[in-house]
Amino acid sequence: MSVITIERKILQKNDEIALSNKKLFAEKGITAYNLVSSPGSGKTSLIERTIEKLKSKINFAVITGDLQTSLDAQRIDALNVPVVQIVTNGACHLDATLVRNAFTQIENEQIEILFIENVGNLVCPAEFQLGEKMKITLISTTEGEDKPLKYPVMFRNSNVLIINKIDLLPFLEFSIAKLKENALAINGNLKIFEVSCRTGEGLENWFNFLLNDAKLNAAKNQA
Amino acid sequence: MHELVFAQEIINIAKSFVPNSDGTIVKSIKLEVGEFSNIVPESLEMCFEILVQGTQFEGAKLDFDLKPLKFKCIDCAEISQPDYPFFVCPNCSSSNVEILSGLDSKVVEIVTLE
Repeated sequence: MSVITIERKILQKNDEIALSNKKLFAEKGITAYNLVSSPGSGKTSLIERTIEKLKSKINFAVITGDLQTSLDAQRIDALNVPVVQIVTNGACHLDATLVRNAFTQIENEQIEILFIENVGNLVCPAEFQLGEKMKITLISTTEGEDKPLKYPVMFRNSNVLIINKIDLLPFLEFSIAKLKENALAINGNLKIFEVSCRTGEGLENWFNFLLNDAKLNAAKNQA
Repeated sequence: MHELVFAQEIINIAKSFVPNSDGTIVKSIKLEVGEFSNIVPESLEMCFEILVQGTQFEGAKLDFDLKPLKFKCIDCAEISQPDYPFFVCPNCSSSNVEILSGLDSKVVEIVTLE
């Protein structure tokens, strides 16, 4: 019997490709954001509202992943920004190779902010780096305050939490304070925004944060 | 079912150390699995068994070493194993903590029969 000592992360290959994606994005002046949430929290709506508001100031592109259909890409295509739909055919998350291959379709475009809209799932996408600067988790007020406790890895691995559908609060027994308390117990550094993509309430703060963050990142990558 | 991806990655890593051609029999592959890594050992075992059929790894066992979540408080330097899943220092209640173990999963060794 002999023992071969290895010490290698199981997802090391994905991490390496993600790192090379990140370098490629940096070279091209792109800041990538990995948007994750349950299905139906409002990732596509947030992307739509953000691009509508900011596309005169900064250049966007979107890579969007779903198990089936190109419905999300069709919505984003209406905003006249470069968009690539990844159909995962059942896979529950995007990985760095899928993102790299999708990016080749838009690599000659002028892009400053790349939104990577992950498959709607609070479990698997938490594990797979894609080359993003940060993960942004969305949660909507209809999902329950306990989600951060039930799906802690995702909340732990994110930098930003966007609480969407606050316009529905009058109709729900939902405590934003409790949700925030739970989220901050998992990740005390989370930056939290409360928004409604339907009415536009609260989105201004998110827009300002995003613009500022992308510009700071681009300046850092140029230096 | 991301365990299928993990199982395939474990096999890819193992293949790079134990090539198909040399006839070595693999007895077990030892893994360190973080408590906080979203991996279900039973699912991973099932996926592994399916993927290794007909390969040099058929019959090999996965040997799990489960690593508890452990972190260090950046404010008071206390090292603790928290009550899952709260990332708050039990000593000073700070949430400014650095994870020491329990997040990652690794292939640590391969045991072969000569």
